[in-house]
Amino acid sequence: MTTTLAPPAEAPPTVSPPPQTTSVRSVAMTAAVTGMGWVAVLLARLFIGGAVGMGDQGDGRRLMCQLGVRTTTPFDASTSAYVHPTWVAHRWYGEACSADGSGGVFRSAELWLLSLAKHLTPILGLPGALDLRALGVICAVLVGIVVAALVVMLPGSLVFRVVIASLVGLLAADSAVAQFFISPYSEPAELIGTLALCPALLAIWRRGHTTWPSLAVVGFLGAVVIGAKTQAAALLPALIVALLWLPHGWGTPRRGGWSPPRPLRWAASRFPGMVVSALLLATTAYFVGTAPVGLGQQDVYAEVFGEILIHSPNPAADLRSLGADPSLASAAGTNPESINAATLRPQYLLFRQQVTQAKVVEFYITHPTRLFRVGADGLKGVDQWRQTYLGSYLPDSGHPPGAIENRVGFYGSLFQHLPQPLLVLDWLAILWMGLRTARHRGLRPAEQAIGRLAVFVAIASFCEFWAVMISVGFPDLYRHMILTNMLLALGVPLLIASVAIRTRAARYDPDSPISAVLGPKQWT
Amino acid sequence: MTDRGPHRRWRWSPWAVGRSLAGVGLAVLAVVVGASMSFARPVPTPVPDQRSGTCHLAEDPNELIAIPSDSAPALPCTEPHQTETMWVTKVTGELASSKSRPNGELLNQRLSGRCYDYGRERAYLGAGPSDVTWGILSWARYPTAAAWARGDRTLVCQGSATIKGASGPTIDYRLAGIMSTTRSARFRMCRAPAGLVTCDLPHTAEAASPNVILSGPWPGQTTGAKAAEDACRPVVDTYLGQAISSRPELVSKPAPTSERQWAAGDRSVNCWIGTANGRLVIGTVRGGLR
Repeated sequence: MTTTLAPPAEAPPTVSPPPQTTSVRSVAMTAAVTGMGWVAVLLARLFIGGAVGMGDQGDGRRLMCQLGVRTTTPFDASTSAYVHPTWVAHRWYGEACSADGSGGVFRSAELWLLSLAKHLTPILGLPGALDLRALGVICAVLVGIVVAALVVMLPGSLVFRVVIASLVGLLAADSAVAQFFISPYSEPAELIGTLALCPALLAIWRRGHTTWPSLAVVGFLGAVVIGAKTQAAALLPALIVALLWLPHGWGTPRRGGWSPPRPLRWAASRFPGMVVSALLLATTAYFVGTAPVGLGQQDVYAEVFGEILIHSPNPAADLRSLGADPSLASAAGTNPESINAATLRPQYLLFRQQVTQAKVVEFYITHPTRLFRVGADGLKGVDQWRQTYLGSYLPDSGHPPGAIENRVGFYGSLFQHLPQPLLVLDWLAILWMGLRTARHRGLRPAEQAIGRLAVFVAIASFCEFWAVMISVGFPDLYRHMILTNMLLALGVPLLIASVAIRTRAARYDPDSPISAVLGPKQWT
Repeated sequence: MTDRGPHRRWRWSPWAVGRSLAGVGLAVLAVVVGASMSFARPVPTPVPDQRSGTCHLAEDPNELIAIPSDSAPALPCTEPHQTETMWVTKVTGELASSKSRPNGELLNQRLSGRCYDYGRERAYLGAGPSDVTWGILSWARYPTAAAWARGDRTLVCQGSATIKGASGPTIDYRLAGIMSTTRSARFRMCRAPAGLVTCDLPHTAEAASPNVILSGPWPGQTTGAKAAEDACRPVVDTYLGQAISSRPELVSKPAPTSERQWAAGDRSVNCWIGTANGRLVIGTVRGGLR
């Protein structure tokens, strides 16, 4: 009788390929070299030929002001046409340091990275009190750590680990992603935190059971990602699935104890995962609940007037469904600063009280067919792949205002302008292959973990896609969609890894079609 | 998702309970540390001295343009600053009854006109009848959302120089009474080949006030020009503080209306003082300035 609550060490099935033995030392060395290599690649792509980042369309102040700095952008220059990386010390007061002057304070885990960049600025000899190029260096190092961690956590040969981890590094270096690393936005913490979840999730699954330290790391990274940007709260369902997927390795209880019924056993074996899930749920509730009211009102405006009403056959009826004054229907298609905006009418005072994010969600629940148009708009954002209106270069770079850098575009070449049905098929392929790999009986837990990770990114990208589309809709979509796009792109290395692992397993399975053609491989 | 090992049996041991508690503690610590990274760092919100004549910093372009309130303390006007409180009034009307502060777009649409009062602005700047003020921006500042909720309905009208050059509206002197000083060149209207500019920039002509109004039937182009010349002479003499004939480097350059404008009822003539040789100059020719 088995007396351990931890999954028993499985004897490899006869159809399973032999484990690829790699010494701890060689894995550590390979991880260190690969990680440092990707730090160098990131630094090169960010700084060689002049720093590359992302211009500020005005959102940068709400984070940077909390660190006591202000932009050095000249009064007569556009902040969005070029990157102005140097920020100088400044004493801020009152609503000048709030989310868009609304009075609410903007929270983001990015503050931690920016604070680190502030300390690093004088050490690197950069000008000002905080130079965003220091943030670029920090991000490069963090990406290197993530790549190194992936080499350690991935199963398989060293070559396989390096290739898959490097494909993730290449995603971080992609022009659509890396430009955020020298910017005052909250995305760097969100994007790098999400990448860091990959090795962390492999860690909780690779033994076939979870452990407290691995759950704590996932909990920490989950809190960072969700705390970076409220929209990343959409990752919560995927995180909960990930945390509860496998039972916990409780250790070895004594013989002869009480055997609880199956549902209770299931719940008890997931208790640690439930604890971390509950903590993440509370964290998400805290961040969503304390998000600045003014920003929420802006998002609701964008969703209602920029998404719901422009696709509506009867805007006045839709406004009535939302509990708003139907006379505002003529403002369909406007933004808050338009000359015909609803914000310029007294009825808007009632609108902003009555129409909340919850009302918008309720609207879509009661009008589910409207989601088709919203989804179609969202796919336009995904196949656009990247934002194109914020300049990438410094003012003295010699590039024209608003010029966009596009030197690293492997994932861009795969996804940009991809027909929308193919985007959906790609997502389905990631989910399908992920599930097949996760449930493949001939694979070891560390190999199944890759399938689980693919399922995680599929769920996360789906939830993030809809969170963006239901919270802000089409306006500024290309910037908001970056996390969805990155998750979708993460599916590419996971798809490759899953196929490689399954193919290798099939070569050792005498009953597989591939063995029927090539002949089965034998254990040596 | 199936449990492995269907025959597991449990028996509590102090070691297992302790390890579980330690694990819960570790998880709580990890999530709290992760979440604490995004704890906000609020800045102070003092109630600044916003009386008329006080000067304030708005060094970040967003502070000047995008923020509806101003909590920055006053500083001596001889130090570099961006805005100066011209006058203070109250929010009245429909919006004043709103318990929460209305959105900035609505506030500006309904109330910013109270700060764009041309006559009041000219009086604050110390402009006389001859002076044409130009290059001044008005900013309406409302109570913070918290102050509004407490019942504060103060409307502060600030002025600043226009945003030009890298330093934008930064000045180190008062706007109050500026038109009687030589620094007023930045706040006077001049004409350059490329269009209207303030007189601290290269220009070929400077505007004098008031415009003169001609009457009667359309006099024809030549006669109309002569009439405009005659009508503007006292205006430019007053502006210069001396007869223009005593300033050979200057000429009166009235801008009369066209026949079409005349027919449409516009018979005003703008009086300009130009350089005789058409060369570009900087500064003002206004007489009697300190």
